[in-house]
Amino acid sequence: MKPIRCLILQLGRGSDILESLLALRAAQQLYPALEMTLVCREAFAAIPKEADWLKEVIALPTQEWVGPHVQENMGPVAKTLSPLIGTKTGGESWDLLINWSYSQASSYLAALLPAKLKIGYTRRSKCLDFSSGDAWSQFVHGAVQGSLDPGIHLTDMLTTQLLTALQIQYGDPADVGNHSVTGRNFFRRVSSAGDPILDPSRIWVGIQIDRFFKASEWVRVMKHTLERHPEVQIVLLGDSTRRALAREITQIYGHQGTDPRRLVNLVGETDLDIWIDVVSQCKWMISCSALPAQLASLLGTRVLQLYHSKNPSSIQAAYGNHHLMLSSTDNQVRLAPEAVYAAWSYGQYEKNHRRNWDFAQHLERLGFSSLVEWTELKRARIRPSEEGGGVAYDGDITRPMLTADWLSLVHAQIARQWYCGWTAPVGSELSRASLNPSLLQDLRALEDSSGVLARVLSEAVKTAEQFHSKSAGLKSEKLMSVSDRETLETQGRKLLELQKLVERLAAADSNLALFSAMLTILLHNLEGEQISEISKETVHAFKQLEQGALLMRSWIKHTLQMARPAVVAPLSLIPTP
Amino acid sequence: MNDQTWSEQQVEALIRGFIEALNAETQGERS
Repeated sequence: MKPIRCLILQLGRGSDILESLLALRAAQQLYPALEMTLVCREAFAAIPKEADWLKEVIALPTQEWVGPHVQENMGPVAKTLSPLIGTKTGGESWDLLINWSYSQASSYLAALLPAKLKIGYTRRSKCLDFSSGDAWSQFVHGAVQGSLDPGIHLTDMLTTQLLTALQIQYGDPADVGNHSVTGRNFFRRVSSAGDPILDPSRIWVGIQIDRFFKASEWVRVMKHTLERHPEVQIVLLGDSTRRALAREITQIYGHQGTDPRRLVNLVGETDLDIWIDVVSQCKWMISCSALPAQLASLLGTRVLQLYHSKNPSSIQAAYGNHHLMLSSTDNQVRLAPEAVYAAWSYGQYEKNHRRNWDFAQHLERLGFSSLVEWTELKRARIRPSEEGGGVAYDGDITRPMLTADWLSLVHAQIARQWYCGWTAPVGSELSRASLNPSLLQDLRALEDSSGVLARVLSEAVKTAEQFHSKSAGLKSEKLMSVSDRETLETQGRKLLELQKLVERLAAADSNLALFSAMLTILLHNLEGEQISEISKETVHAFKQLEQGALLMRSWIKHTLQMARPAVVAPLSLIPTP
Repeated sequence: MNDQTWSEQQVEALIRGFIEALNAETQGERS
């Protein structure tokens, strides 16, 4: 089998690298010919170096290249990059270059590296201006980097982006069976581990400590857990900057007459290898930071991720089934340590209660009923492929749906329609019980503004089509009659006005922001040498947005209809049992 | 996007752009 030589640029931080690794591993299982070389920053190279299924990890000493003397750094940068660029050393082009850094700096690097196919940010040949040429990169640029909730986990976006490119270039994968991507063998150390560090006869809960809680609050989490569950032991994890906090925790814990053997403190004692070994032996990882949570999920360890904020985005949360996300329902109210214990015990013992009661009832049973109002628990679920696949985080307590949640659901459907050619039926994953007056009020306003938007976009499509038809019919784009020029100028001006109108509509109703953001990105990335080519792409851009606006309107209509009182049969017509 | 070919001047401009953007992003991360 001829290898598919693939170069991945990931100049982001540790958690960005983990997201990329997960998507790459999934793609490699479907396309075993993929031979992957990852380029990352030296400071974050330790994690990918653990993944022995990568052919090579190239760590760039970017720290050395930062400073005021740009000219002095040109030589060292060129020297480091020259083996990658390859042309001067007679090397081949890469088959595929994936730039998942989503940064300006990486776009220059992506442009320099020769590849038959490039996805992600790069620079255009003509004037070296920025380009996000492929569809998913445009969505990441417009939605994710525009601070809009795309409703799709970043790993799912990366995976779909890569698999789509591979399918177009190399055909369908040989085997589309259900592979388990995460697990103990994700990293080499674990698969070849010797004696376990933790006693395997116990249930271990890892807690990555942080300033998220004070020492006394962490102790409350631990005491609830250890006192009520004698089969459980806790291992404290964290980097060396958390040593003092860990000491404080163990001191408070020790003064309370509790069994010190049930609390193991490894804060500041673990390098990455040991950390991976330890976490892979834990049944749970409780963490308030993205990186440990993601790393644990890759190792197949169940994650409880903590947030003090309201409605945190799940697009970079732990990936996989059954992970939990615990957050506050109010930005002014911090999460309580008792809520952390409750969430963990709800997840840990769900085989016993089989989720016959929800998390709110669980809090009440534990005597923490005052926390119900302030605590939100969400659970990760991998959708079956017939439902669109990907990970979703569902609430474990039925609460009034926020407009932001509704919008996130619709953004995800719009993206799927644009890039996957498949959308779930309108209204899927929407429950009547979660509808509420505040949401409906917002949707009624959105019904009006999106109606105007759809009309503006429809007009833009027509104008762009006329412009294209006129420009395509010209014998020459340089020499044309005065009347042709005037027609094109008039239509061009109209398109500009319509574009500004879309921007104004989005400024007036922020729930339309996706359309304005995407319009800017799409128009920036128009490709073509001739006016007729560029105008053809303009037609596609406006059509894409119109399609999205119409889909949003279907969702608004459906939701408002769902909220109407249902007609039920009169009591006299209902047969008595 | 297919293979691009660059002149020496363009290669220099791309490397310069890379270093300048790296500087800006590193400062952004620190702040």
